[in-house]
Amino acid sequence: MLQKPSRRQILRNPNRRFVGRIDRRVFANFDWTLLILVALLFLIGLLNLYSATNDSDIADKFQLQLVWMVVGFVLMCMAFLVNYQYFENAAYGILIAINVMLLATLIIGQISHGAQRWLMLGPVRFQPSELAKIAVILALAKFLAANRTTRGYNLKELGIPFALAGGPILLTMLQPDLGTSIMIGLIAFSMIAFVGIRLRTLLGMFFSAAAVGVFGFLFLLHDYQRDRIMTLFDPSRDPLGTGYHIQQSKIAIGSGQFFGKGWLQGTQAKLQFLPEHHTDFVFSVLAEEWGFIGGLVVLALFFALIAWSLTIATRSKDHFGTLVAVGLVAFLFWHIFINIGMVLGIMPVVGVPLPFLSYGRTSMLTVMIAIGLLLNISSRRYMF
Amino acid sequence: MINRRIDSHKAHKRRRTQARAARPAKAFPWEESQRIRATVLVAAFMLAFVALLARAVDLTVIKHDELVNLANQMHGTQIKLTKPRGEILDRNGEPLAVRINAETVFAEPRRIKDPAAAAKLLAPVLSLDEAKLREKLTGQRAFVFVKRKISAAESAALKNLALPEGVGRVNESKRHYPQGRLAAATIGFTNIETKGQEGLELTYENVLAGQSGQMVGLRDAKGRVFFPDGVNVVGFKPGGTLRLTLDAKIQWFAEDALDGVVERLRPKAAWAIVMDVQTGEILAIANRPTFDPSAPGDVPADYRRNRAITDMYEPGSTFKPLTMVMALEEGKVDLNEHIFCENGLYHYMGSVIHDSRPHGSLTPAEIIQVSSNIGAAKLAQRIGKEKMYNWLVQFGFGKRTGIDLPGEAVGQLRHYKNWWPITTCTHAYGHGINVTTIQLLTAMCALGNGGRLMKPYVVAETIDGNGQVIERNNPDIQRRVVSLQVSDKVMAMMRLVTQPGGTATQAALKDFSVAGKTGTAYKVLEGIKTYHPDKRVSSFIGLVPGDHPRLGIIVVVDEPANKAPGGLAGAPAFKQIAERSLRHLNIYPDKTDEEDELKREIDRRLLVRNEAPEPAATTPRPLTAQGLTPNFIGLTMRRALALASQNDIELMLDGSGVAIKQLPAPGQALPTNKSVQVEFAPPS
Repeated sequence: MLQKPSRRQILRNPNRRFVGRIDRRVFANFDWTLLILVALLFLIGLLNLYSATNDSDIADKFQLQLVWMVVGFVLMCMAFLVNYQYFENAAYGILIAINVMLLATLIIGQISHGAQRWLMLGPVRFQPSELAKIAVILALAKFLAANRTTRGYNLKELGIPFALAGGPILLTMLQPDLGTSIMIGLIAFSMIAFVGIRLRTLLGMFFSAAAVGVFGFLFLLHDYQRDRIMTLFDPSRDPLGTGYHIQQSKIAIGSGQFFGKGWLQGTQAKLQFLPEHHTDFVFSVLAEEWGFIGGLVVLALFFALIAWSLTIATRSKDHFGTLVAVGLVAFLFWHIFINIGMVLGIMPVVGVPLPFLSYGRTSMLTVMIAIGLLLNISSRRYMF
Repeated sequence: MINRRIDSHKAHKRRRTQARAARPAKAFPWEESQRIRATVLVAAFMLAFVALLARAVDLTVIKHDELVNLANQMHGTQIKLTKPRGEILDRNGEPLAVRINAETVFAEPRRIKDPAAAAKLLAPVLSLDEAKLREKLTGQRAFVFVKRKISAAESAALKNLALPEGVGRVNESKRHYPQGRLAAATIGFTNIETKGQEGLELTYENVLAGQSGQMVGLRDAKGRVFFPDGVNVVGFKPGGTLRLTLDAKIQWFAEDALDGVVERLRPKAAWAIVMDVQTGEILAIANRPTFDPSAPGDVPADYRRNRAITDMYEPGSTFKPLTMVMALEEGKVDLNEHIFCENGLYHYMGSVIHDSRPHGSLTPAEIIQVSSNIGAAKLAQRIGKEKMYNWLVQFGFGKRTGIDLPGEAVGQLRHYKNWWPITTCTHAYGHGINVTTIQLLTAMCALGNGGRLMKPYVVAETIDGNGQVIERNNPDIQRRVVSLQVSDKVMAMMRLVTQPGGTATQAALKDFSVAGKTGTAYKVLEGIKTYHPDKRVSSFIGLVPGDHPRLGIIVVVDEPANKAPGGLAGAPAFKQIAERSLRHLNIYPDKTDEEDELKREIDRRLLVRNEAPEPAATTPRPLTAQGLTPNFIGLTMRRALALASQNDIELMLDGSGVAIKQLPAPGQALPTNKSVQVEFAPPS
């Protein structure tokens, strides 16, 4: 027992002898609903990825995705089996470790696509910024669970949560990885909002954020980021330049019509009109081949997953569990919403992968860990 | 142990519930609001998802058409090449239209690094304008044709060049007409995509056209066309073959004869058809003016007309044998009777019918032989308009023959209820009725084959790309229109036409008898219902050999110079075609044939003139009573002179055209010197 649960928890837990080992009741209360939803989404994701990468020079991505899935499954099992109270104890430590990794990425990271996002860990290359999302969720949940309030947080009280989330946000923005950075910010904001923010504070934050946003837009953002936001409002502004992604994606989805062209029958993605069609724009491949009906099914599954995860949050036996679950729901929701919104052309093009469907090593592993944590919380809801 | 654990768990839960009940606000200060928050969150998420769905509906359903179009513009590219068109052969397999391979040079301007250098390299070899080519090769276009269907020499020259990146070659097919202008109007021509535009090329487009090959390339997101596996032409399927009934040799004889006609008479147009009398197969259709099917655009559209099929005209005297058939079939005339031909000028129902030469009384055979309009008119009166109309319909006038060529005219046959009283007479010698050449020849051939009206046709077989015959046309008997007895008789009369004393001695062949008929029809002036004094259509129609015909040949000359009549304009050309064709077909005269002897016997009898003195009642009379001035008004100069000589009058002529004024007036006493002044004016 290297990491001990807090004294209070140990005292509260009548089965303290079993803490640290796997409790059989975890399996008795196993959350099959969540697992089935996730399995369905992964299945759809694999089918779609097969089609997206089929017959092209990226066909190996499908096999790689399978490998990441197996690795991810192992990670999911770990995240599920270890009692999440250990994560609560280790939350700040994990966050510090992640910040160190992000810092290391900035210094010795691999440069690709004009950004320094990857860190070599032995032979494995991964993006610490993805794991930072989980780390921030854990750390914030720990802090917010310990510092509850009924009247909502004011600005002063939000200092520490901001500090917790601020490090990774800043470090990923410097890479630069605007998408991940915004994502961490949104997750953090969602968690704090769930706990409660005073209206006055919220408005103050909103306006200052707007001011910072305008300032940032004008002076801080990279040109390509500014262009992406501009083209959000008018995607046809430059159909061969920055608006190209959105335009192509819309064409793919639109040409899929109501029932789609059929699996493996998509053309926009196959002929490489659609850039990043196996990663960020994988949903347009799905919509092209399965049509509106396919998109509807996937959205419904996502919604079921999110609603179920919220149920897990409300059923959790403690505040930390609730808040981690809420954080993970926010994690899933923002990814899904921003990615599909982007693909449909109502959100700016920020590099956000679609959970379960996109190809991506770190993204896959992060999602698996998130699901493992949700299973963990859900299955331990009766254990004290 | 397990029991104990569960027990303790339950106990704990109980304890916890009790504890919460005791101090609810402190233990979980926001526990109640937690569920509300979660519910609100679920609602918010649902709203977000509905927004996504709405957008998806917008894209997939509402904007779908627009986006599909955009997608189609972007997909992989197929560059259509010309179709591997099938061949057109004559009846002996002689090619009339073939496919030859030609290379096409194309370019992908986006991939060309140095357009100027490429243009400089290619322009001289392909004889293109360098500046224009450079412009073509510059820019971001994905694909352009540099030059389509280059010549073999250009191909060879190109092989020695190292083509710059972005320039490629591909094989295409090109239409070639190895016989040049031969049968151009019948065969027709194609456009650069080798799609049939006129003639058989048009009618049989779906037989001749193969599956067009396509150059399949991929087009990537940047719009570049590229050919990952090299230039790949797929979907190539050769087109079908047409085997015609035309005989290239006979076709050439016909064209050559027409060239002679053009040389001699400088007509506005001339055309000829050679038909197999027994089967209705067309052996040749020649037209002048004509065109080069390889460059159809070089001449006015007018030159490309297949006049033998598309033009209608008044057949004139070539119609008389048909009138004779009607009279004989209806039993209205006896071969030995004499029909008084009014000495060349016949007043009937307020109109005047002329003969080119005045004749007294003529036998039916002589009416044909000397081509008497008055004789024919008198026969027609006996037949009556209703019967005549029915006969004309039987012969196929006023209706398309159904020949498998585009643009066939119907002709013009008015219903007998709309005829003028004179119409019956004028129809008898081929005026007032419009026919097409093919209609007339088809009807005439029925006389030569024992009375069967055949359906003329040009295509013998259609053969698909694999050599399988799709359809084979066989001789098609429309109906039996003439009895053998009558057709034999009329044929015999027609044989007289080319013999001494006939109107077309120039059509006579050395070794064969020819059954024929000349025709010289005045052309109708457009707008006013009168005939043009000078313009005429001269024609000759003949069946050879005259005693058992194989070939039906018609030569029509539109507006020959010197107002040459059919015997002079058409007959020599007919003779030329007939002689050469019979030799080509290895048809030898067979004079010992018993049947021929019989026919000659019939000829002899027909020829024998009745030596009995003509009855007084039918004594030819001058048109006007002795001592009175005849009516010249409305006559052409030639006819006026004919009438004058008949009455021994001396004419003093003035002007040209038709007679409008005369002195003394008609019916007045002739002056003692028998001279009449006639003033002519062009018809207005």
